[in-house]
Amino acid sequence: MPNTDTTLRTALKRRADVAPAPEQFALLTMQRILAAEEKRRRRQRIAAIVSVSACSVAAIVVLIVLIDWPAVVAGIHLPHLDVPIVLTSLCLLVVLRLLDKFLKAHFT
Amino acid sequence: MNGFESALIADILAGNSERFAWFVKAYHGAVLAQISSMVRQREDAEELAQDTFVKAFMHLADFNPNCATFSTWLCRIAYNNALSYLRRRRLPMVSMDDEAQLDTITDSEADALLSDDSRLALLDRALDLLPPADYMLINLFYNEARPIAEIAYIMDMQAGTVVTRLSRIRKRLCNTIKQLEHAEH
Repeated sequence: MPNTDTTLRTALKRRADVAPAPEQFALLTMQRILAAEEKRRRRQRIAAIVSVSACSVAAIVVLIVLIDWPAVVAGIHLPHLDVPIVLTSLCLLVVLRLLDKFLKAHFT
Repeated sequence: MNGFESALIADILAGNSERFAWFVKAYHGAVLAQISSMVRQREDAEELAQDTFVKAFMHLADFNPNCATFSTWLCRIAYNNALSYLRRRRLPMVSMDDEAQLDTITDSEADALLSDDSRLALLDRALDLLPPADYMLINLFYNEARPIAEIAYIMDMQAGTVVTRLSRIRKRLCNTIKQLEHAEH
């Protein structure tokens, strides 16, 4: 492909002389960029909270069903299930504590 | 890409977002000129240029220096941005010329017409009638003297397609010049 069409190049060069961007261009662009970055961080934070919360809820449900499923299904309290209920509660506390630590470590 | 830009990108990705200002200051003129070659409305072109930098910043982690330099990558984003804008506005991006008519124009005829100073004004009018994507392509090749491979990367097409399209655009310009001359006489 020849690049020797002098008149064409002259015409294009002349037309390419656009007025420079306004002085505030860089400043305004950076403001937009930083605002977009803040929005992205906020979205990531919300996504992480939602994800961790969903995982915690799922884990708790699994624990309850596995450890204490007769009580969950039948809604009755049996003496031999006292220990699993305590275990479930302890697990719940541990999960909540871990969740709290995770959120504090990453988002404060 | 030079070492300074690589270091700067690493720094920005590490969390120093403010340092991206260097890229904005260094390339805003080129990006604005690039977009202005496709989008004539000045305010829209400035808005799209800003969008280009915002997108570049948001996708900085995806930038691969082995594929292109930072400025070429920026140019590709600018092109896609302008193209999306034109699609939204439903502006024609391809010429509706009779392709068979273009086949009658030889390369030597195109060379002669496009190197003729006396036809500069007509050529200017013919350029006005080119679809934006065609104008961008011809501008990248003739005005910015970018290599075919770089243009192919920016416009996301095969190098062979770029060469073919350049040839068609030159013939299209010749055809338009002839029509304008015919209309004047």
